[in-house]
Amino acid sequence: MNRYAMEFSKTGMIRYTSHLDMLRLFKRTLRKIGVPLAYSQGFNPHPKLGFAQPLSLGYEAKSDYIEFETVSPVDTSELLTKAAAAMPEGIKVIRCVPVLDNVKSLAAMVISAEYTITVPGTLYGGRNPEEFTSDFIAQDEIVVEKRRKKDKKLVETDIKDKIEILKPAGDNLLYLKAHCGSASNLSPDLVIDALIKFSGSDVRKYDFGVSRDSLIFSGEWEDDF
Amino acid sequence: MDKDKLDYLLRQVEKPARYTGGELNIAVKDPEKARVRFAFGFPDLYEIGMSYMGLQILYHILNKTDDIYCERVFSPAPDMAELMRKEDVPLFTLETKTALKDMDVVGFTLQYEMSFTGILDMLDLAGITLFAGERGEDEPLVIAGGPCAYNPEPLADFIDVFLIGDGEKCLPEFLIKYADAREKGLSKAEFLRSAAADTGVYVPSFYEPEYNPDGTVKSYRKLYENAPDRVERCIIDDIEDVDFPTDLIVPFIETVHDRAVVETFRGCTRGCRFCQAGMIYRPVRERKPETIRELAEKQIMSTGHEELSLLSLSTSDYSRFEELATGLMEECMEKNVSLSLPSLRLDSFSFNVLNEIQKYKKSGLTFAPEAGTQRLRDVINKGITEEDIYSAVRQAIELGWRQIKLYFMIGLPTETDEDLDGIAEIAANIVKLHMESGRGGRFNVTVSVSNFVPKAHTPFQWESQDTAVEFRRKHDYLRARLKMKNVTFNYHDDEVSRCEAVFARGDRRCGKLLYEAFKEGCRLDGWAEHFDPEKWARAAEKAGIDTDFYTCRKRGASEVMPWDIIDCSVLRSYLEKEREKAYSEETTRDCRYGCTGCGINRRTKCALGGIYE
Repeated sequence: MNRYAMEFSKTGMIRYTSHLDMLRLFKRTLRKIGVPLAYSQGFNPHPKLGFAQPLSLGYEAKSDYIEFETVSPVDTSELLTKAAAAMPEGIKVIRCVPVLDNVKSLAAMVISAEYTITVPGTLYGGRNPEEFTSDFIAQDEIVVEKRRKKDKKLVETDIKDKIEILKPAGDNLLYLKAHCGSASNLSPDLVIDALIKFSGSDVRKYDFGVSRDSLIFSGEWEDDF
Repeated sequence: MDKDKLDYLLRQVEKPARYTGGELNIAVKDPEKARVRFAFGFPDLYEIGMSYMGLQILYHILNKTDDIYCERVFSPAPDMAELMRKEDVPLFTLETKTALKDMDVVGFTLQYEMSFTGILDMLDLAGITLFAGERGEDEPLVIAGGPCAYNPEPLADFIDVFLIGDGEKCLPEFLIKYADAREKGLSKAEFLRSAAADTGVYVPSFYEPEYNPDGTVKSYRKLYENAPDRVERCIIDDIEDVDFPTDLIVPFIETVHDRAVVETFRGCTRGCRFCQAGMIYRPVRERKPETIRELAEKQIMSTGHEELSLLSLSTSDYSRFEELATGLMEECMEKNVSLSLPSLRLDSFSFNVLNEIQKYKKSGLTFAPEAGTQRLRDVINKGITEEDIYSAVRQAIELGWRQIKLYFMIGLPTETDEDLDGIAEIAANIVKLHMESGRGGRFNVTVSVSNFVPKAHTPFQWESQDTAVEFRRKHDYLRARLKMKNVTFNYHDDEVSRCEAVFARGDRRCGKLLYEAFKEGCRLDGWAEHFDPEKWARAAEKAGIDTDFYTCRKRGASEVMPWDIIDCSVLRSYLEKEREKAYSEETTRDCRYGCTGCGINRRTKCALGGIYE
């Protein structure tokens, strides 16, 4: 097996391109630059590639990963150069590394993620951001409404345990570290809902911006040969 | 434009990537350095517009020169349009996010009549004055082209200039001429006068229609003496001479057609009497097989597309089709690209090709007999016999196809209920063929019926369309007869077809109807979920338009047609002759087997006329 992971960032207007469309973009680009992608077997073969963790529409990513398999080994530095030239504005490829053979998929190893949330100044209602966030975190429970996948119903859920760290990180910026991945996941969208509820101000959800700065994995996967 | 404001909007709308631009292969230029900035407007959603090859062709050709910067703009979906109005964000181009009103020229492509309200909506969202006559010197010049420009009159109040015919040469020439004129300090009116005599240029404000007491057009009075009596369409004599794009823009979001596309030829020699494209794109002009293969290869390289399709009015009429198809199949196989060949004539060779390219995934097999009896097919000159269909279906069933699609039109001239019975018979016979084949399993025949809309510049341009009552009766009649096992019946909404018919043959007074419809809030009328017949009815009432006058009225033989001002280079006498032959159920041969005298060879070389003679 020839497994590779490519790290990239997604900033600017292209953040309005959805997860599925990003998959198509990478698939096309890798084909275009001649990467011999491995395909699944069957009547409807599709290339074996996937992102470590889906990114919500509209979020930026400073460090995201796509994992793929090829039918034969590829020269990663050449691939990186070609991919860099072929990507549309807003996608920067950072590095491409082989993945160890005997590990799970990257997607299965993501456990948490770090975010920077841009907040409207009026969120704090004149309070000190430090105080605001520590009061927010100190609540016994942080309950928000979430749409359940199976029946699309709105249900109340406590997200407190899924927030690892939340603190101010400069002017109108918050640093968030939260559960991420298949085992336990918290969308920053819900944190924003909770912040709006807690502040009691009339800020709008659309005034917030989110950047996912890093993904944290449960184990080592890079093959550094 | 204000980036934060745009972000604020994009966070709230569905499919925001419709509005972001930045796709692969877009033109990135310094707008300051272009002598003329042009916005290519497609009056429908991004997904539709980006599937339109004409946009890709013209975008590529215009952006080859540094003098022109061509950018794109599409109709925003209702959610975005509403937000833009609420937040006071004017319509902008995708490439540089420039407000449309700051462009030099805004051009709309007219692909189908039901997109006309989209043009008014886009102008309004852009803050550009709707009526051409009231537009200021500092506002963009608004132009339009495409097949619906062959009857430009319903849009004449809103458009400064229509460009008629192939756009590859006349559009860049026109834009450069405009740049020259503006640099010399000419006013728009002065420029229009200087361009009025150019081939393909129709300036509606230089003509004033006069009407007879019965409401028909009496004549066109010229308001500027140098304007031509009739506007000749632009024709590219040899399409090998014009560039075809290999660096297609590749959308981020899924569009209707998301694939590499090479146009194999333009025009059609079949001469179906209802078909406007068959008349206005004459003569047939082919690309060489070598060129096509090279273009296909380069497109796949530059886009990463996984599907290749060929574009023409009738794929297998390409004179060296076998050679081309065989070559492309090999090429595609090698590159892991799927090949899609639309509108194949199902002879044995095509079957082999289809069987090869759809080895595992057989999509439905499509036939377009258009009419249910041989008599009516002779009337419309559709050269397909029932035996053609049945023998192809027999083969298809043998090879494993389980889904047959049939396309028909109702309301064709001389149609009787017997012709409708014929539709049901064909469906029943196909189901029977499957039964007889002894190959059980699932099998489905889909019968799709559209409503005949008489089009300008065709032998049926004089014909009446069926009334709404008649269409509904025929739908009911067919529904009852097509209640069969394994048959699915679909039909088009009659209100939409009637609305389309008004604009297809409407005169300048229909501009009022369009304006009222726009004010009523009609948008994206080609979409069933957006089309609102009640709004259109109110608009007709306010505009004082009797739509029956345009739809179900047979035109007199010598009547002046609103589109007579446009000369598509096919003789009116040919259309008249074809109409007479239709009435006597006489067919006209494909002109590759001998010239049929349409008159196009007065204008240009007809390279394929009579090649099989």
